[in-house]
Amino acid sequence: MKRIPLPPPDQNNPAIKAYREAVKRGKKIVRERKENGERKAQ
Amino acid sequence: MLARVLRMGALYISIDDQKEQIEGYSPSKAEEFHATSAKLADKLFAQKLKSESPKEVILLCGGSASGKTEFYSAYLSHRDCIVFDSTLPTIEGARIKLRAIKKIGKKSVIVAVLPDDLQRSFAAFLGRDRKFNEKHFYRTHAGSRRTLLWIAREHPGVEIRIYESSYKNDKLTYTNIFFEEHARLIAYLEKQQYNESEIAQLASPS
Repeated sequence: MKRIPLPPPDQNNPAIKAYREAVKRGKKIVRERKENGERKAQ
Repeated sequence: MLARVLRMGALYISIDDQKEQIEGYSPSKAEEFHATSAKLADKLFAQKLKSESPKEVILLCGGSASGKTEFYSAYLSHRDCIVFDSTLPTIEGARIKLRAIKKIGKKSVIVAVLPDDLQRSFAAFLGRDRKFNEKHFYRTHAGSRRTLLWIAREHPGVEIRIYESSYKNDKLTYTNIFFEEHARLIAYLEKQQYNESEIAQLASPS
């Protein structure tokens, strides 16, 4: 098996930019869920 | 005199784009419109297979928010080919498409995008505008892997290209996972199989 990195895409490509923003928003959602879950447990 | 229209780049068909064509659609209702948009995309795909000249037909494959559409926009959009962008979640759906492509005398290529981190992929899924129930994420990640393995076993003549998406330092990048022997590709795909519960656990460890 070979792992061949591709040339990095333009991070400002609209689709990629939208994905990056989605990851940021999603990580915040996950963090909030975890905090809410921990609060309920207490 | 016939006017010749030169198309620059790939002919791209996606289920998500078809949603935009349906009256009443909004991203918050994506799940409600998914089945209808999938049928529209399949119909358009069948039409374009017959009417369009490119010989190469790329079927994208990979769970929701793996980075497939992003991969297409970065690396495939300029190619002279037809691209069908979906998760390819079922064996039956893949069977129908591969048969149609073969019947028309075109060449199938599977471009699979697998995320190196399901937690990151799940975060992208939760954070995007198009809203789906979480079961959609588990189903498409489990299903697309199953479909990929089926294609590798049952259609060894179909080219499969595997790309792993990574997300580090706020950058989305890709690595081609290349196998010189088909048997090694199958062995790799066998190790990538998870059911929906396992995907749920990997995406959101308790």
